[in-house]
Amino acid sequence: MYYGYQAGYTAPDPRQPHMPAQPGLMLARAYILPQTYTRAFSPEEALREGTLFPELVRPYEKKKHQGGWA
Amino acid sequence: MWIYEKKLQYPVKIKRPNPKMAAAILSQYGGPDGELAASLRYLSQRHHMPIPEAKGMLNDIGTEELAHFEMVGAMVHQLMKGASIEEIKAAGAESWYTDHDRATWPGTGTGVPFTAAYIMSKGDPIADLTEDLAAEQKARATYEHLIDLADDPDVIDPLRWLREREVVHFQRFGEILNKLYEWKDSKKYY
Repeated sequence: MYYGYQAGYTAPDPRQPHMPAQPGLMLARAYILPQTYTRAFSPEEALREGTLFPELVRPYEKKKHQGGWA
Repeated sequence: MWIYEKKLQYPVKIKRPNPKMAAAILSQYGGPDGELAASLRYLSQRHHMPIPEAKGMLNDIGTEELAHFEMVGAMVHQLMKGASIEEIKAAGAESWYTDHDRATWPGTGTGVPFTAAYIMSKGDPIADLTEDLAAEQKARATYEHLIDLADDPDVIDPLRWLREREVVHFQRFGEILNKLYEWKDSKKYY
């Protein structure tokens, strides 16, 4: 990973307060996007999928060969 | 207080014995990232949650994990039931047979017994919910490893389903973590 510490790079002044990366969001804590209701599976589909909510379906594809991640 | 329903949360119908797969899956019964650990973790942490949403979510998910414990137990049982001595020896499951015959037992397939050292209940709601998010990811990863090892569609299908529940629980715990931060921030102004 390249973090951009090239010649001429000026490190942020540690005495200045840190600006949040996004307005309204804080550093050093986790965020999860809250789910809002859009639509639901039928009870039969929900039982099969393991969730009532189509947007939470995250199928896994079985690894075919050794090594690697993802 | 619980009400028991005499059926599995999702069906488990394995027809072919497979002691090797049973030994692998046993980790999700009584292993480090297994369903028993998940259930006891959440049902213990619920008591000290400062907001009712967090208590309720930990209680609901801790209860559901018990239903998963039951499903994984059924999978292990069905994979061991009817396995011949030859199949048990071929799978390298002699030590299981020595200590347990073909019985389901809360530990790992390598004989490590279940321990409360797998889980934490810290008393700090944000630390505890952050552990719970990690626990869901570790359980998801374990189910993916098990799916990689499995060939039998009757085994893969309930593993796929249990893995999806981990994804859903991660989202729910994340929403609770957000609420706990809101609660913590609101305390600053009273």
